[in-house]
Amino acid sequence: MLRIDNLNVRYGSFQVLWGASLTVAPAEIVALLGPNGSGKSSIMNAIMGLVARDADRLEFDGVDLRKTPTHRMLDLGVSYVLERRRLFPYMTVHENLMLGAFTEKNRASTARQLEWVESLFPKLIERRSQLAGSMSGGEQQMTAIARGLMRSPKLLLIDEPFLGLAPAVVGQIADVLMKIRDAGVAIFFNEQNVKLSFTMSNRGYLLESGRLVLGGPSADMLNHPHVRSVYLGI
Amino acid sequence: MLFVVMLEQIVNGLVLGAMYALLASGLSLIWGTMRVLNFAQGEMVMLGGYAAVLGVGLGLPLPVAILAAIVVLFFVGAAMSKALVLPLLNRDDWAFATIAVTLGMSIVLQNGALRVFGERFQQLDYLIDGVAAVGMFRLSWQRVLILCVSVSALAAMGLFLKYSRWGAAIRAVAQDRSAAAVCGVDVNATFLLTFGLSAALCALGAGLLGPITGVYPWMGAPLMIKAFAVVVLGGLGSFQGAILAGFLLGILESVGVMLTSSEWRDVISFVVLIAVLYVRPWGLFGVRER
Repeated sequence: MLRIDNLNVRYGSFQVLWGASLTVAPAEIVALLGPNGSGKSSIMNAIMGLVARDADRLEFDGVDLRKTPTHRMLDLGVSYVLERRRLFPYMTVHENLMLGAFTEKNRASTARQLEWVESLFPKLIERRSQLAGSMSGGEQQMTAIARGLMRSPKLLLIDEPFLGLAPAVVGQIADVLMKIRDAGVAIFFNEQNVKLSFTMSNRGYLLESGRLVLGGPSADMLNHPHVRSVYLGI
Repeated sequence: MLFVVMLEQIVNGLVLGAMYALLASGLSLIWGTMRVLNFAQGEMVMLGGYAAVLGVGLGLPLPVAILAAIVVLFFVGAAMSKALVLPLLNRDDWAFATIAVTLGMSIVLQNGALRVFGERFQQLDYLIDGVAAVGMFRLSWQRVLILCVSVSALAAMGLFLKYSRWGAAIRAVAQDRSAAAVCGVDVNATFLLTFGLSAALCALGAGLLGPITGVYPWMGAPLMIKAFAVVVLGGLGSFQGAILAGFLLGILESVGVMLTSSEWRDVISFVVLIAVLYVRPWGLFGVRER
């Protein structure tokens, strides 16, 4: 579904991502692991066209994303939850969610998605008319993920879904992400917590200093000697 | 008697304030969505005035000419931002480059108008003649109309921003450009829309004020300086703030002039501006930036 070959990202003359190749198939969770500053966010931003990039191939369902402006990605079925939620702080939760369906012409579909995301995150129902900027980090992350689902995407990219969240909320969100996958939406997210990520994902990649060094089924990743010694300290 | 004079001055202040609000709210909207200060905003008033004059010259009834001027200016504003401002936004020095280009536009438009139309004042007719008199209290109908029309237009604009799809897009881009793009909002189209709407509000101002001040090449300049003061006073980027501050400044100036003399008009506004900024640097109705 998502297919990337030899993706490079440079900020000016400074290259942060070197020849990344990866795929995401329908209805799977793929985790992108790597230490701080390894270029995880750059991959996400590069897919979405938020940063300048070049690649031999960057396509989604056969459509060349290199020729797709950021605001058209959602219509193709690619949704993105930016790092640190990035809600519209002076809008209500409901207004935020409705902006997630900005390009949806079919009102019935929007109503259906709204009902679905509110069933995934029941807390959002009571928060509907609250300003997004005034909520806790966990509630903001729920709103951000819910907003990312409003346009019925096939693939949901999430940049650091668990950043700065309380442990109880992390578990809650991880559960919901698996439910979303089970509903047929593929998820590609990045994270620093190796154990959590490779437990809840189907496949994973490891990024170090801008290069993808490992990739495979999550169970294998978790047992890989390099991952065990460097990231799990075993 | 003093009471009546006072009341008249307050109403005059409201009329003046309506003009400030029409200009400043657009300025604030552009700043809020694009972080661009449009120094050519005053010239949108001037072009709007000439567009209405030309419309009347073509034989259109005045209200139709003004409406046409509003539509024309919407496209002029959008085209100007498309041709001159958008190409600069991806540059590292966009903040300065956009100031330079809009300031340049302002000069070009003023001198262009001088060259094309000459320095003679062009006259627009009053939309309504006559004077409303209640007891000793007297007010020209044109001023009443200015007040009613501008308040309605600003209210309509506010409702558009709050409840329409594209209004939501403008607010979303203002609050987080990348997040809006990811939500499917065409950010560049939103910028054009914002510029166009702001210019349209200016044209409305010109159609209302033109009969009182006349239409001339540099008619926008003095309004523009005040509009900047109003935008800062209300809080940069706040649409409602610009409107409220516009009316507030209009009243303060009119009443202040009555108590002192007309040379003090600008002194009053800028003393108020400095005093407010001293206490609330983020403006009366703005939000402190993090």
